[in-house]
Amino acid sequence: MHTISSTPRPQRTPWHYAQWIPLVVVLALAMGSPLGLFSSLAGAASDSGSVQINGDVDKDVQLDGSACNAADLTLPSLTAGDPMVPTPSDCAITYSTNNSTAGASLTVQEDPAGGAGDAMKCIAGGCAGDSLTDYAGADYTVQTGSNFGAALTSVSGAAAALWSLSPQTYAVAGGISACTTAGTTAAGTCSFRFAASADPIADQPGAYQALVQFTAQAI
Amino acid sequence: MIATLVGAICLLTTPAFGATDERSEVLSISPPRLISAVDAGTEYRTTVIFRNLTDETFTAYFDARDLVPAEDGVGFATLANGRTVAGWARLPFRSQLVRPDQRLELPIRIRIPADTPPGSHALGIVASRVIAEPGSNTDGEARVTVSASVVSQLVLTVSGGARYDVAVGKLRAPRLVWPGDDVRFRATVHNRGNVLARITQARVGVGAFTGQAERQLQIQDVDVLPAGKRRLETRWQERPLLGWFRPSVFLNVDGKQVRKEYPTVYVLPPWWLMALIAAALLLPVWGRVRRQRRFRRAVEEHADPSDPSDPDQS
Repeated sequence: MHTISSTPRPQRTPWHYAQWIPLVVVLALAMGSPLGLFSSLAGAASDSGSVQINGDVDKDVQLDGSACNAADLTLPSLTAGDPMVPTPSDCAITYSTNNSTAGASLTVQEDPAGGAGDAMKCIAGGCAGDSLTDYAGADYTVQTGSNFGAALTSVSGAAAALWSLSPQTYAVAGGISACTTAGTTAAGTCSFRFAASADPIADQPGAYQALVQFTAQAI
Repeated sequence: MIATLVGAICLLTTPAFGATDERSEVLSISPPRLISAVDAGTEYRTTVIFRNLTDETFTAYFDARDLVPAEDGVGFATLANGRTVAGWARLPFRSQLVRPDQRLELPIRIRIPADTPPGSHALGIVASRVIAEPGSNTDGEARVTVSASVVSQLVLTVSGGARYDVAVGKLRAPRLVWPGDDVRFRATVHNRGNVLARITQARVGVGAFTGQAERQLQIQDVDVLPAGKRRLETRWQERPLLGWFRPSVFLNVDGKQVRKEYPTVYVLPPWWLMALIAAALLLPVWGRVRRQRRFRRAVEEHADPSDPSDPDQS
């Protein structure tokens, strides 16, 4: 019969206690993490902190079209029946509001008086921090009745910015694309590129234009 | 003497009148949104301010259009040819030449028809400018003509029979959250009433399993037109390292509290915490095995070789 009563109890080494440290840490995290005690360890960005500003500031909606000018929008001569010809450069619109609502939106509408044609298309569109899904696409494909297109009209036909008051020939509301700013006081910028083609039957030689309207408003 | 010196310094550091640096080509309209209670059969008057912050003189065009809920749930949309509510408005002029820095006041008169049903009705006062004029290009070219507009929204709530009915749906949140994930809580608010729903407080509370700790994630205040919907979204920042949670969205809509719960969200720990957990589990086990080995070895070393009952000696 063995007796081990004479066997000395192993001495507690620092290692003996150190091996329990991970368990203690994990238990502490498990208990504290759901309470948010260790959230800073997760490395998430914090948006805390505020600045209080006192003063009178007019609440308004703003639109800056300085990066969209005639040179960006003039098309070269169109040959009837040829593929779509793009405008030389992007047209960029910046918009914002300092209202206390969620921000601002920019909608893009084609001319409702332009008829059901799609001779002009938006072929590229993008917004910083947002996305545009409602344009024809870079393949320049003319899709009859698709969104975000417009017919070319004679220059003499649309001299004013006011849109026609006559009943629209197709649903403009379905042809709206929108970008939104991230929030109050943040400015959004959207860039667009257009292209056009001439129909050999419908379009007679001459000067034409297609009207596109950008509208900025509070969300 | 000192006052003279300070005055001279100020004079030298103040730019001369008209010596402006970069100018912004900005159109401005105010207020962005005006909400007012009115009675049917009366006339409502307000003023909209348009400012030309560009350095050019141009013709500004003014128009009234119906406002409807945006199809994609991101606010309001102006109907290009909508003239139902817009037809109530009388503008003092349709176009006006505006000089740089000019502040133009538009007194708007809105006659609400006597048979207008109770509830909110919205219209937008639209100020436009043609950015790229077609000009006299008769050389056979085509041109995309761009008109830029800013909108002042007017929401008029006709008294009598206001019906508040807001529903929250399409609650979406990830069930499993991995480290580094961009976690977003989404919800869609539907206004089924006949008045503008003003969501003055919207937040997501992330309740811990203890049921005591709630982390509030702010969502921006929003307005929803009747028959409209609004998508709400907020990002979960400063999230815990691990745990499981029952988030809820809380809305304060015109003084009424609306609450809806998301399914449970499980937050998985980062790699270093996983390693720590593995170490926490394995180290004590390994230590115990090591101790048992040492104990067995000690037993063997202290075994009596003359003891016949010792099976090791047989």
